Amino acid sequence: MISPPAAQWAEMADATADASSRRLDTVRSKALNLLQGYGILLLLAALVAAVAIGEPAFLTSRNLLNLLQQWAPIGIMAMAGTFVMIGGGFDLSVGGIFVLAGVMFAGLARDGLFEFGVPVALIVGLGLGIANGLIITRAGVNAFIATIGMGQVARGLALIYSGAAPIILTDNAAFGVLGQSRVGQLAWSAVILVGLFLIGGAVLSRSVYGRTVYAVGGNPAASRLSGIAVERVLVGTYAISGIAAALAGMIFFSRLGISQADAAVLIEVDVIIAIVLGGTAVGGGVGAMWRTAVGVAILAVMENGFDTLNLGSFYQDVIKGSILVAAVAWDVWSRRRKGAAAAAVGGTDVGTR
Amino acid sequence: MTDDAVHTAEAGEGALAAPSPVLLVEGVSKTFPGVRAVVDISLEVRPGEIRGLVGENGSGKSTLMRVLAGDLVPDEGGRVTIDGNPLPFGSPIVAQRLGVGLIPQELMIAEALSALENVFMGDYPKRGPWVAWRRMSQEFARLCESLDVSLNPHAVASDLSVADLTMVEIMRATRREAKVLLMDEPTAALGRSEREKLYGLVRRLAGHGRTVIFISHDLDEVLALTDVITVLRDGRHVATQPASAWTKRALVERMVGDASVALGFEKAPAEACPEAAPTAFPAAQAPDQDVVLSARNVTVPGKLAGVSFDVRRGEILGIAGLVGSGRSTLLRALAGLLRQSDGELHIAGKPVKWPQSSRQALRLGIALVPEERRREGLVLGMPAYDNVTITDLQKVAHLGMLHKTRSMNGSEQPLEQVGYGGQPGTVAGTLSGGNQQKVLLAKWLYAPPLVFLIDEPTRGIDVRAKQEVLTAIRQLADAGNAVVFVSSEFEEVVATSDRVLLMARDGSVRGDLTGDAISVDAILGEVFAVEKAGQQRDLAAGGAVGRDG
Ligand SMILES: Nc1ncnc2c1ncn2[C@@H]1O[C@H](COP(=O)(O)OP(=O)(O)OP(=O)(O)O)[C@@H](O)[C@H]1O
Ligand SMILES: [Mg+2]
Repeated sequence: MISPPAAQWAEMADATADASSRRLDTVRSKALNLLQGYGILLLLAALVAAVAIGEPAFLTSRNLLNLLQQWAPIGIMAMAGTFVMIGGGFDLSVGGIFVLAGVMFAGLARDGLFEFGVPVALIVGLGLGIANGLIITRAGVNAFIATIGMGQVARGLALIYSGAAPIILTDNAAFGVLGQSRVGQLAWSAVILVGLFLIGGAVLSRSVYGRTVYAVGGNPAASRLSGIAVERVLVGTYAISGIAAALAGMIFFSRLGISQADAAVLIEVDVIIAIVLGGTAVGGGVGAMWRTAVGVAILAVMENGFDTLNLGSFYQDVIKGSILVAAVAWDVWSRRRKGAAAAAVGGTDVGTR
Repeated sequence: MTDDAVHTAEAGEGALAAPSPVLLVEGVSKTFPGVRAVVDISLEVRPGEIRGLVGENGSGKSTLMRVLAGDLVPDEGGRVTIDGNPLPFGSPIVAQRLGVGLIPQELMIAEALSALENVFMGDYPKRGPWVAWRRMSQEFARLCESLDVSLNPHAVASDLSVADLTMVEIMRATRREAKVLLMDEPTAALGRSEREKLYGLVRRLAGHGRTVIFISHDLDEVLALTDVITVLRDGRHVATQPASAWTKRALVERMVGDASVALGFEKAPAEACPEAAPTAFPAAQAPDQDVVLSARNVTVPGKLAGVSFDVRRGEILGIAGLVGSGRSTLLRALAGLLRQSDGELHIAGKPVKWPQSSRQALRLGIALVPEERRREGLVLGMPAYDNVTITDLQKVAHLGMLHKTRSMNGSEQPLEQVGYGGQPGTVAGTLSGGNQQKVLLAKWLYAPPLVFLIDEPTRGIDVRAKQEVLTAIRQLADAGNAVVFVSSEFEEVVATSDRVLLMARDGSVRGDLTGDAISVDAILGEVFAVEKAGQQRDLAAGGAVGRDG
């Protein structure tokens, strides 16, 4: 209707020129976003390729199924730990709970009370998990401190219970079922691992509880004012983690046929590495279950590769520790980049008015 | 229809006259250590009423709202009833169940989640234990439609603007169909067209028998929108009258408890410095050695397309534009906060490297007073005086050590200059919004840089404080500093600026206004004329302008 004056036409032409350079920028930043989102898949693929080239036996179904079985305990704990971490928490007590549950499971089997083993161990795990949650939410103890303390307590109890001696049950068939039995080539523990990841993933991404965990981790104050029972949600995440640690402990020691309170030292660190490596953020609100699965897979492939290279476990520690720090640095860097982008859109003002 | 049923039921049990109050507050007090934030307040609000709540910064408005929403536990002895049901204090969940909804003053957003999930936070539509995503999306779309906003449900909250996030909060609070909706400064971050939409929504809600408590420092807005207005002062109830019985002057007088306070900022800066307007004109044409900062071709990919401008010594350069036109981006780029920004910069005539960090910017003498005070401006856990002196600790240090009294003394004058109303020793995080803003300004008064970049300094602050803050800004300029000033209140830009830069939504400069040419009409004319060409949405805002113009 109203034709724009000449000056405006000129500006419009400028604008289209701008727009094309802008488009290039967005293509570039989209590519970077994709890399940030799915880069760990690339990392996993590269590792798999590297290890497979060095050791052709790596990509056999036998080896892969073995890996699944071997990593089932850490995988199960990492699956559960993802809830804790997305909720904004941290659980370093899983190692202790893992050992305590394993030792009690073995002790009861030794004393001929095998049928009580599983429920008792699970209840112990659940109870300690809930206790973690209550100490953190009610008493307000920092999650690091609370769970380090709880881990120490649990490991101490395990030592007391077992008299610091290994409980050897290699000839107890029932005890070995959980960790050793197979259908064909497939170990039951691997089935449990995959099943739990599928269930956990669905709960986290699709259930009301799962989404609530994201909300609480993302902004606890907002969640509280939105009517979420924040404390209950958080206690729930620690409960999941506790019971998963108990299950993992039973599977682990059942596979060995021996239960020992001073085994699996620092296993909780592997769990944290797997979660963080996948890209779930320390601090909460960001992450996904598939990421943890990939994180566990990377650790598994890496360790398998180290073994074929005959790299000593000390070197492995050095490399794993570096990877943990690098993963967090990468996460922080990419978030800072995103933050800057958000600022450019005029949207830095999140959080306050 | 259900509303009618409710009304008749109430009429039946209540008196013959007005319907019984849906919100009854009796003798509520709230004491924080050292502060009586709310003192013995009683209120009665009826269904369908829009109640305005006004008061100076720190007068206890937000505290009262937080008590009503179950967020804070008040002192012993008070009582609150919602529709006849006693409200147990300290439980947001129960308050919500009883029908109280709160839009808090500070945005409550989970940044990593989508707009959709933020709206439905804590109350996802469900099928069994699962989230019913489809139903959620449909409801979101319906909400958008009823509010007349367009918002991408899948946009991540950290990518949204403050205005959008405010809308998210409003959607969150209204979707639950609260009987009593508490809105704590909902319009503070909104542009004109968004504000109009919000007014429409509030009226519609009231039309359906819902009750709204509306807090704002924009008294015109409160007078136009609400039915009854309550004034608080120092945590106490001062007066409640129908809106029609109030005038702006009367409100201000009761708010400050002092009839001598000047009303509105339009008049005062002119009175305070009568020569401001005349000097502005020559200043604008002064020779170039007066140019303190000269920026050429400032670009931020995707946001700013080559902005150029100069600021002179003693000058206030206002930047006017619509929400989203990149005003804040420009300031943040200059302050070294945007790494991907670029441009040419001359400070006092000398070419300098484009700042890539705020340290570099500060070394060049450029300081930013950010829009977002809680996240970027203040160390919330430190007392006010430490927040002020942090800009130059050497100044109050003695042999490298800090002493509380020296710090407090050092902060006294700047805090007084901006009219800070709190104790210097109060922890910044617990100050009312307005007092936080004043601490933020005082911080740079304490160690003045060469160029001040001030972003929305009057957002969320009361009438008197606005005046004081704007006067303080004028004083900065008079002392020879250069000031670049962004505000969404065009009246404020007009009243304060010597020169106004006009920005369009695509991040380009539309030209500038100087001296007598500066007026709200001129700004609106320029800004909207350009927007009209492309953007339907702003036509609506153009209509809204009539109200103010
Ligand atoms: N958590 C807290 N701890 C201590 N004092 C507080 C706390 N919250 C608020 N206050 C104090 O209570 C008083 C009232 O604050 P409130 O936030 O209710 O004011 P307001 O009327 O909402 O002000 P504004 O208009 O600036 O938002 C202020 O003196 C403030 O410093
Ligand atoms: Mg307030």
